[in-house]
Amino acid sequence: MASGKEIKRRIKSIHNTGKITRAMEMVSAAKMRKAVNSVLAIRPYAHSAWSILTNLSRSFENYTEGLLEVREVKKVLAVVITSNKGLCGSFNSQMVKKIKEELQNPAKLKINRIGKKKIISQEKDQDLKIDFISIGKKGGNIVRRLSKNIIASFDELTYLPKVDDVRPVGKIVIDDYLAKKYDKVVIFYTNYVSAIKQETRIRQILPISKIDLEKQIAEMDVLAKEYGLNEPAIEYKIEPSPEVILNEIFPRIIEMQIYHAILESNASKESARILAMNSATEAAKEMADDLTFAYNQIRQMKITQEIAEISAGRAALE
Amino acid sequence: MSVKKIKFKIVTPEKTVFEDKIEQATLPVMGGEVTILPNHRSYIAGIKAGEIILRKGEEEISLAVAGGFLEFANNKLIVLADSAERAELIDLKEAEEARKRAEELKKKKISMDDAEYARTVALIEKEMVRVKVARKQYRKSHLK
Repeated sequence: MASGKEIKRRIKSIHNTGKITRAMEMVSAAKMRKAVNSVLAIRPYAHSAWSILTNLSRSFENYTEGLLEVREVKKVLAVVITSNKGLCGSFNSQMVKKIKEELQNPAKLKINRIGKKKIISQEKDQDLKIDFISIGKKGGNIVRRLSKNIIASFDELTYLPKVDDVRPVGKIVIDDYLAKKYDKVVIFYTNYVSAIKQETRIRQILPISKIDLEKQIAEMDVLAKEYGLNEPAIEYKIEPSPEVILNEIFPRIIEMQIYHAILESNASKESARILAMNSATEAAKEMADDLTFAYNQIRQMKITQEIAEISAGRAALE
Repeated sequence: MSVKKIKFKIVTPEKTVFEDKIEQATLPVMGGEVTILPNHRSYIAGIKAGEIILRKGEEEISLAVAGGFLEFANNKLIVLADSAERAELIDLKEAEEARKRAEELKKKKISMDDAEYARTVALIEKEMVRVKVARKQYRKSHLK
């Protein structure tokens, strides 16, 4: 059995760890409030932008160039949003799981779908090339371990970025799509549902489509009903000209989608960290209690032994 | 018989600035100015920095907006703006100072690349509109 001194030292170190985790919990609580507020603030904007974008892309059905071109998927660009630091529960490991799943079975990644058009790639699974942009160091590490190519990393974007900060990401995505380097751009992010629930999601950014990636493989008639694809497209009068709108609005909305995904991930990360740190603090308290109990037992034993020795000595003298 | 109304909503990345049923909206679009009445045809346009004027009954609501775009369909008007403010909430003094700051920024940075220059010009435009809208509001409230 460990000596009393040793146990005492361990109790002290566990107390210290508990203090650190409690401090981290409180820091995260403050950060989370901000992050959640920013997510809730941008959601109406993002949803409106998304619906305008999809309505608009239907009136542009005859345009098959630039950002609206749908190609057979041979190369995919994936933006992965994670955190820079660990200690946030399953936040990053969920992402690892999701990425591995998608890489193993890239059925969803291989379909390009806009409106009623659907192009399934004939590439074999192992020939499908996937490159990554990582936002957050942890994601970069995962991708490197899977020996995939990272074309850019933005590690400074993980806490409350400004819209301007996201512009370079949007530019890479748009430029590379226009240059036909990639046939599809998706974003891996964590959706903030509530303080205790977050889900890892993939969303298709380019080509622009209303259909969730998760539902890419669903049957056409199911999708048509759900997304109203059978309803006639609204005929818009577009000013000053469709080309101007195409060049001005689309890049903006794409940036906004990326920005939105980062904010969602942010809020999710801080909530995950609060939970993780909370349970770590609890665990530290429990452990310290157990050790204190053991320490007291040893102390008690020592005292009993000493008393026994003294009284034995006295008995020997009498 | 009730008069047809437009469901109006203006959102920025930071918040939903204003949401209400209105009868008429005048907006600064890229080619000039557009007034939208109920049953206007479906319409999408880019918005430049300027003033949005909404009419709701007797009331006139004024907003300063800085770039964005609008969608009008089925009597629903959505404005997605980079930033927007209610005129009565703009502090005139603060707005004037912000404009001065923006102009100084342009003077200070003599060598700028195109993107940065465009951003600074956009900032100046935005602040100028804010001052203009705030001044107008100020005059209006002091005439009453």
